[in-house]
Amino acid sequence: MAGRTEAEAVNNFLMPLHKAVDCVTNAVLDVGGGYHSSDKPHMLTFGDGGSVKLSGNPYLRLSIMQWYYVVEAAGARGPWRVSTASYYYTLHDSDDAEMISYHWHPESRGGVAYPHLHLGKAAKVGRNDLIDAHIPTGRIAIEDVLRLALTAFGVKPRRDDWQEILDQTQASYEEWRTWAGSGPANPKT
Amino acid sequence: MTPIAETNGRVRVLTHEEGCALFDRAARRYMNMSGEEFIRKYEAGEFGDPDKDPNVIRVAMLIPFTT
Repeated sequence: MAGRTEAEAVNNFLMPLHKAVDCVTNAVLDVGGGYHSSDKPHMLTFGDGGSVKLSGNPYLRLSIMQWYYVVEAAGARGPWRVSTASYYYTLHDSDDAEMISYHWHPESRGGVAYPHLHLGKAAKVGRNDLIDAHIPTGRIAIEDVLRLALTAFGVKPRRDDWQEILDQTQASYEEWRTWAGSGPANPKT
Repeated sequence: MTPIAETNGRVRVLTHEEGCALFDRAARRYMNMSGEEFIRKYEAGEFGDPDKDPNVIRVAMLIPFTT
């Protein structure tokens, strides 16, 4: 997302994300680092860094974490834009055990750099090799995960126009993203 | 430009101290250790692949709150 100032770029990044997540939870969005460019990533999460309840389904919880940079950019993507640097989107059962988890954390110490999926213990797949696997995915949008929760796991939308909201915010995200697929070597790009 | 935190009561922009406190709570909740201890072990590579234990990556993802 672009902006005329660093703060505007961050606002233009956070507002649609918050609007999308608001379709399934009224949890507070916590932002760290904030509104300026830095060599260190900023981050956002919901619910004090834990998982949050989802509307209408007491057996499902959601965790969201993202790292992002505020970077200078040329042309229509500038002069400032926000670049996502990592994400962690996880659906948990009511005991907070991981069920399905979408990760991309190329800057983490150890692990894999490409976007991937984990099936956790709560998925009850019964194969240790599958539990341990980093299943490759393309880049996942938070809207993909929210839609999954709403359509496959009985989460009740908090607003009637949730499909329109998710379609809009995802389209905007996809218009501004600079990569898809397996991921860039440099997460700041 | 008005930060979103000033326009929406359900967004909190954490101070560095608040971010460190959030991180410490998460480390204690998920890893049964302080945030400081978690970072020391993480930086030393003691956890290996952070995805091996879902609680490790869960806490590691919160590290930017402390920097």
